[in-house]
Order: sequence, then C-alpha cells, then structure tokens
Amino acid sequence: MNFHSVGFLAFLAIVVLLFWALANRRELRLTMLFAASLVFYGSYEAWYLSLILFSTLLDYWCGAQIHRAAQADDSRRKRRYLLISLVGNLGVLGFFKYTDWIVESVQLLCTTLGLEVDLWAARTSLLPAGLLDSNFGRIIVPVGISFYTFQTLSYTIDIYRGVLAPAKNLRDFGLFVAFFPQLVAGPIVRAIDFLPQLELRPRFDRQRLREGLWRMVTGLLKKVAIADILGAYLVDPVYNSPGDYSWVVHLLAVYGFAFQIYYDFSGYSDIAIGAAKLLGFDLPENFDLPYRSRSVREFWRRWHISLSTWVRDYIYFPLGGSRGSEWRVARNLLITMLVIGVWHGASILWVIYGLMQGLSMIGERFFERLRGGRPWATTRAKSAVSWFLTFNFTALTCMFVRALDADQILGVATEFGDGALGAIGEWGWWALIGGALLHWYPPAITEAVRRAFHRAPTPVVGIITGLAAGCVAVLVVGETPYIYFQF
Amino acid sequence: MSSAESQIGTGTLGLEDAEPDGSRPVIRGPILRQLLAVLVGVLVGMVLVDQLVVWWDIDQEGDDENRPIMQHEHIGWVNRPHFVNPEFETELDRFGLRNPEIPEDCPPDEVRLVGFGASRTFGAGGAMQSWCWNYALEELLAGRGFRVLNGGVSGYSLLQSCRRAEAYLDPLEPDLVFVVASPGAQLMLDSSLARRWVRAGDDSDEMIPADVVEGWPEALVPLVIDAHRYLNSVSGIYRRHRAKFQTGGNRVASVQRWMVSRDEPSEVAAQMLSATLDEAQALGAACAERGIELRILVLPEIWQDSAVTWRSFLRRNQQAGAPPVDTPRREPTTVLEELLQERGLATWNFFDEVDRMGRDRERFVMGDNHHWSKAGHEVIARGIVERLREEGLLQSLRERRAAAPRTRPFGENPFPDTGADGSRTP
Repeated sequence: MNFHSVGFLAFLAIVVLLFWALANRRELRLTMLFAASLVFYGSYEAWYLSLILFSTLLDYWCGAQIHRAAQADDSRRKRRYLLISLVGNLGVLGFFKYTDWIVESVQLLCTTLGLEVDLWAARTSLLPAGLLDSNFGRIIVPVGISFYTFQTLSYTIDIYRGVLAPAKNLRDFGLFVAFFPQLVAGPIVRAIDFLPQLELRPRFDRQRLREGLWRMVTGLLKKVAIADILGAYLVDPVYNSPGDYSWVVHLLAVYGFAFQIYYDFSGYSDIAIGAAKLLGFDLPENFDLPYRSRSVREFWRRWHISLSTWVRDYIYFPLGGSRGSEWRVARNLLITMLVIGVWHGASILWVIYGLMQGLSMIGERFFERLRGGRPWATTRAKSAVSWFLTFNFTALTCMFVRALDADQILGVATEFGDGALGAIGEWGWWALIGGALLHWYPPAITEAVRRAFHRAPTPVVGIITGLAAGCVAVLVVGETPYIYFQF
Repeated sequence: MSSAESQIGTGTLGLEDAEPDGSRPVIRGPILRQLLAVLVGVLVGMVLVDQLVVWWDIDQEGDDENRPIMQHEHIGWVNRPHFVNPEFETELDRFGLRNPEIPEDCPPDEVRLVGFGASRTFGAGGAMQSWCWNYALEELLAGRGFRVLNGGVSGYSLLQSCRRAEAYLDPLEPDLVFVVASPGAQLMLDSSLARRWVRAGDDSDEMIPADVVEGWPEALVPLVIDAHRYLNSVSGIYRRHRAKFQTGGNRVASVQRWMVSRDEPSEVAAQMLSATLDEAQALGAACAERGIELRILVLPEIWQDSAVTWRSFLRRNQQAGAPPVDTPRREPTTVLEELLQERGLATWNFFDEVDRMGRDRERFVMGDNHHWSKAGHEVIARGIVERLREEGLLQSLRERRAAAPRTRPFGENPFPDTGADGSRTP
C-alpha cells in the first residue's frame, strides 16, 4: 500500500475517523490502531507479519527481563538479555539482508581459487521456496525490516541504559513497533519519544489538523511531481543508456538523482509525519534542507536525521565519539559511516559509499585541526565554496546509491554520446529546476504559503488537499515505490 | 490563534476509559464534523481535478467515438476503421489499415502484399503515414501492379499480429503476408491480464477487462462491473489509469526485458514463447491452405543496433530477465529465426539493415529513440525488395495472381467499428 495511492488515502481516512470516534476509549482506540497497523503491513505480504511479531515479542520480553535484572542489580543478566535482543534482531535482519551477498562473495572467492562448489544451489535447496523471489531466486527482504529493527533495538538498549521503563503492555509496545505511518521507511522513532505519547489523551486542534494535511500534501507533491518525474524523464534514461547522452546530461542526471532521492524520501517522511499528526502523534523530523550544508558533517546532521542520530547515540558515542586521540576519532567516524552504508544495503557499493562519507568527515576534521579549530568558511565567498564542494560531493557519491553495479557507475562516468540538453524532456527540466528552486529559495516563501494554508477555513483546506491528491493521481508514473523501501 | 485557544472539544461525556494522564474526555462531535468537512473538501477537490482531466483529454484526443483503437475479445484491441488524425496524416481505411482505401474497381490481378506487426509497422513515434515502409515499398514497386497494405497495430505482440493477419486472409485475399517479429519481450505480451476480456453477463455483448472482476466474490461482481462502467464513463483519472494499465500490461518482472537467446528461458517465458510460436505456425498453415506466401520479417530490437547500446541494455536489465551480459548482439534474431524455421515458417532477417541504421541514428530513428524515421522505413522497404528479387517473388506472384484473378475487390471487414465506447464485439 504505497502512500501515494488512493487505497492508502482511503485507509487513512477510515483509521483517522475511527481513531477520533474512539477518542475517549483508550483501550479500543489503541487496539484499533495496532490492528490497523498490522493490516497495513500485512497488505505488502502476509508473512511479513510473522517477522514483526517475532521482533515485537522478543524485545518486549527482553526489555522486561533487562528491567527486572536492573531492579535486582544483576548486571550479568542484564547483559545476557541485551545480547539475546541484539543477536535475535540483527540475526533476522542479517539473514534477510545479507545472506545472498555473503553467499555471492564466498562463491566468487571459491571460483577464483578454483574450488568447484555451488553455494548458490546449496543455499536454494536449504531455504523454503516462499522466502525466495520467484523471478530472480533471491531472498526477499521484507519491507521496513531495517527501520523497525533499529527501532526495537533502541528500546532494549535504552532500558539497559536505565533511561527508559518497559512498555506497560504488549499492545502498546506492538503499536510502537508497527505504527503504520512510519513503519516501512521511518522516521526511526525511539521508544522514549513514542511510548509516552500513548499515555496522553490525543489532542485535536485546528492547527494540528492543518499541519498534518499540509505535510501530507507537500509530501505527496514532492514524491509524485518532482522525484518520480526526475526519475522517469532524466535519471533513468541516462543510467539505463548512458551512451545516448552527452557529459552535460550525465552531470545533470547525477544532480537529478540527488534531488530525486531527497524529494522521494523527504516526501515519504512528510507524509508519515503528517499522517501521524492526524492521529495525534508527533514523529521526529527527518530532513532539514540537506543540500544547503557546507560540510559533510553538517549534511549528515540534516539528512535522514533519525538514522544519523540513531547511529550517533548507539554506535558513535559508545565507541568513544569525539573523545580521545585523533586516530581513535577517525576510527569511530569510519565505523559509524560504514554502518550507515551497510545498513542501506548489502553490496560493495554501499561499503564504498560509507567509507567515502567517513573519509570525507575525517578529512574535514583534519583540515579544521590544521587551522587550530578555527572555521574556514568565515566569509560569504568561502561559505559558497564550502557549499559548492559539499553539494557536489554528496551528489556524486549518490551515484553509488543509484547504480546497480560498478559497471553502471563507470558507464555514467565515461560513456558519453551525442544527446545534448535537448534530450531531456520538458518534464525533466521542470522537475529539476523546480526541485532546485524549492530547496534553495528563501524559506520565508514556503512559510508564507504554509501560514495561508493554516488560516484557510476547514472545507477550503479539504479542497486544496483534494486538488493535490487529484494532481498526484494524474501525475503518478506507474508503480514507483519509494526508493527507501528497498533499504 | 494559540494552540491552547484552538483546542476544541474538551469536556465530560461519561462512559469513557480513564486516561493515564488524567485529562478530561474529548467531545467528539466537533472533531468528527471537522474531519468530515475535510473529507468532503477532499472529494470536491479530486472531482474538480478529475473533470479537468476529462475536459483536457477530450480537447486533446477527441471523444470516445474518435479513439484510434477498439477493444476486442480475442486480440485485445484493433484499429478503428476510418480513424483520422491529421497531425500524422493518419487516415485508416475501412479495414483499419494505415493506407489509402482499396478502390472498388481495383484491377482483379493486382498483387497484394500486407504487412502485420506492431508500432514499427504501423509507423509510430511521430512518423507520418506516407513515411511508413508500405508506402516506400509500393513506390519502389510502382508500375508493376503491386498494392502494399499496412496492418500494423501499436503495442501488438507477435501472437496478436498473427491472429489479426489470419482474420484478414479471406477478406483481403493477399498474395504475400509479412509479419514483423522482434526478439524482445513484446514478442509475447499477450498473456497480460489487462489484455483478456470477459463478458459483462451471460446475455451481454459488453466486454469488461478481466482484471476488473478477478478476485472479487461472485456476489459482488455485478456491483464491481457497475462501478467500473460508471467510473469509466465519468472519471478522467480512472480512464487514464486503466489506459496505463492496459498499455503497460502486467508482465512478471522476469520477462520485462526478456529476449530470445540461447539461454534457457524461465518457465513463464517458455510458456509464453511456445503459445506465440503456436499462433505463428497456425497462421503459416492458414496461408499455405490458401496458397498465400508468408514471410516473417525478423527485426532486431532497437537496442541491438549498436555494440554500446546492446551492452548497456544487457547490463542494466539483468534483473528484468535480459539475456546474459556476454550474449552476442546478433544472437537473439538468429535464435528467433531458428525457432520460427523449426515451425516451418519462412523468415527474412533484417539484422544488417538495422545495424546500418544504428551507425546514424539521427537520420534513421525518430526523436523517441525507438521508431524509425522516413529514411529508416525506406531502408526496410529496400531490404524487402532485395529479398523479393532474390526469391523471384516479384515475377512469380504476378504470374500466380494473373492465373487466378480475384472475383471481388475485397470482402467484409472482420473488425467493424463497434460503437462509441468500443466495448462491443461484432
């Protein structure tokens, strides 16, 4: 059930109406929301439910055991249950996401060494057919597994650290894991932020209603009017057939993909945040105009914020963070960014992507140290240079996100043809220019439009939402799932 | 208005669960009224856009009676007879063929060649009617008593082309039938759900796309049909989505970019290919029975026209069923030719012609990067003439027709215009 589908909008309308009709019946209201979330997730594949229920049961039980052990001051038991949670969750995630990659890599190694083994066939014979993609024979990666695994891990780790009390009951915890607006592609919500919201009576006010609809409208338009069009009219043609286009078009396609993935993912996040608001919940922001950043470190503070703060709090800080020698900090940065890379997907491209991000951050830090900790970009010109370098670095590294393999990156980087700027369709230009302007023009303009939307009478707000939904229905280019669904 | 001021609907109703935060119950009436107001607004907004789409589509494409294709129970869709689109000089004849009408008083011994195939036969991508290879071929054969007809229909698979060709054998009494076949997935599009039709009811002539009713409980099917019929008649957005679905089909991912090759096809692809070849063989038998020559023109896909494009196609489509990356560029056409010949069908392979076009795409290929320009169609026409000469068909066809002239200029159109919505079959 894609967010930009009539099916989802109808589903959301029914759930919102039911939710507020049950506003004073806490148990029924939350149970209905939990059931709706399971229906939503089950609409992708019914068997995915078994995984999310496994994860839910495991962490609910581990959380309770860790808490009990903490009360008994039994640190060994605490660690044991944390370990069970980590192994259980990361084991499931690792199995679905990384098995094929590992099998492929070992098979390649065996072939190189001249060993005659068919690991692929062995893997296929060991696994139930239902777990394999019927077309390509690969293990199916359940939608959203990377997101909810990190979410549930934060729950047991926070209880272990003593900053969170366990959920009061399994239903509440299940709702935290499966809450449908953010289930399949985030934002990654922490239990510490979500569970307390279940304790409050939902508040409904005009501003919240309008803000929720505003976020949904802008999210839908970001996805369908910019991201999908950039993909269909500029990025896909160039990546699919680089030999047909000149180097200028290649460069524009590289920038185009940077905008495509931003508008695709931030559009999804906006819809998630908006839908949650309509249900009286607040989700964390996930983006803050990342292409305005003037350093790679700043970029990661503005891009996929819920993931970068997650790895900061649960990986970077425990490794020592910015304390210790420069080598130690460099190592911490590298490991953290490598985890971010591999979290996205199982391929050498993601490893390289993570390494590039980590190395650039180390480089920035080194440069800053050379200047005695004084910032370099103190003038407007230097700021512009910093921004230019950062934007180009992030856009170019996005090639590793888009490409299916190294050959495709090489193709985009080296195979140039004759198709000049005219080869980009009118729609492609509109989406590229529109995407760039929307990102870089003064936020005051967006804010003024948002305020006008907030001030409008309720039926007018509905009509504007309907007009946007209608435009989305017209513009939608085939089946275009969100890019982050694959992660 | 501050958040506190705008908080609506707090008060006590009783009979509610106690909230852990001890707050007062919510009065739901005003909330639900606001939500309903939003919902009504959303519906109004969507209807406004929808009607704008209806207006726009009529303005751009004309109304139902002037749509270029009609639905058909056995073939999926066929060209509408007498369809006119001056923008591309399109003026289909009484049979829905893209050529001038066959005159009532045409010579009974004229040699009639008919080409069947998809968009590259019909002439798409902005190609004018007079650019198509049937015109170029007729011009090359001018003065020798040949008439060349264009039976192309955009989006057709080989199976559809063969089925349509067979229906025209008796009404047109051609001397030579060409069917264009390419080795890509379009060769066998026909299994798509969107291309199957079911009757709206036991006594009804109305055809409904099968996917509309599939999966619904029997009892709800009449309601679903009514909803489909209603939305199809009033909603521009619904019609666009149906059109997208029918054009795109729903081939499984493993055959999206499949091509014939020496690689073992997947089970799905093998079934589809086998059904396609059966149909071609049936057409061959029908032609042989009537003494009509049949040649299958094996044309490479556009992405086989240069080494760079071919490599790029193979590389990027490995996840969509493309042959292995080291497949030679000529292999798909060669293998398709072999498969057709195994079924007793005569083939002409146009790999070299298309290869030549690949060296100067700007000249031979339209801006859509897929269909041929006028010069491209002319290359195909010249290729056909060469092969006609090589096989001595120019002479033998004329002699055979002179010995057995037609007794009527043409017969009944097997696919007459079937009304405004094109949903009735004859």
